[in-house]
Amino acid sequence: MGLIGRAIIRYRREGDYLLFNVVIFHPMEPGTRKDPVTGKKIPAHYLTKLEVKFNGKRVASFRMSGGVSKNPVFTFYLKPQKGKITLEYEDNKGNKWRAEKEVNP
Amino acid sequence: MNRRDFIKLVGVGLVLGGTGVSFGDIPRFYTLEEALRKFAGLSKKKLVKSNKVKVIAPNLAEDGANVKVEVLANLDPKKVEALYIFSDDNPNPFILEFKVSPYIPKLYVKTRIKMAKTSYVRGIVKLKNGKGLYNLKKVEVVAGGCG
Repeated sequence: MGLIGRAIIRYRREGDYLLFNVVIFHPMEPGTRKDPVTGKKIPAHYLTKLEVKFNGKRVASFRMSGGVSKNPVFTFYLKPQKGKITLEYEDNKGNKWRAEKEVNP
Repeated sequence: MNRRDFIKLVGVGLVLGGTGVSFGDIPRFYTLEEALRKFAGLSKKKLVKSNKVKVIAPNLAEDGANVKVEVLANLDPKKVEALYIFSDDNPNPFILEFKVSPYIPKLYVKTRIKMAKTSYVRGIVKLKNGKGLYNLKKVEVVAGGCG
C-alpha cells in the first residue's frame, strides 16, 4: 500500500510524435468483489480522474470507473514540445496526487 | 394471496429482471444504455458503427482482470471531443473516457481493463457534433475479473 498514488511517466519519440506511457499505482477496487476468506464485500476504491497538463496547460483528461485494471496504465500521443508534464489524479475516496516529469524530446 | 395478486407480482419481477438488476452475484450497476447516457452523454441511437474506429484486444483473455485494450481512430482530432472504452456486459459498462485537445496529434489510447465475462469491448469516438462512432471487438474471457 506504500506505493499507492505513485506514478511512473515515460515517453519516447515515435515518428513526429511523443508516445507517453503512464503507470499509477492504485488498487482499483471496483466495489463488486468479495473477500474470498470472509465473504465480505471489498469496498470500492479506484481512481476517478486523471488530468494531464503540459507547461501548465491542460492537454488531455481521463475519467474512469473501477473497470480499469489494478495499477492502471495509460498510453497516448502528444505533440512534441519541451517542458514539464504534470499529472493530477484523484480517487473516489478524495485522495489527490500530483506527479511531474521534465520532457526534452 | 389470490391469483390476480400473484400474476401482478410475477409481472413486476419480470420487469425488474429485464432491467438487468441481477448479474449472477455481482450487482449490475448500469445497463449499457444507462452507462452511455451517464458517462458519455451518448445513447445507442446516436451511435453509428464505423470502420474508422478500431479496437485492438485479444481474442481470448485468460484473466478478465487484466485485458489490454487499444482504441484508435482514423479521424481528424480537431473534430473529436473524446474517446471511450466500454465493456458491454460489465456491472458498469463504462471503463474509460479520454478527452482530447489540440495537443493530441493522433487519436489513440491504450489501457488495461477488467471484464466480468465474455463480451464485446466497445471503442467509441464522440464527435464535437454530439454523434458517436464505434466499433466492437469480442473478447472471450476465461476467468471474470469483476467478482
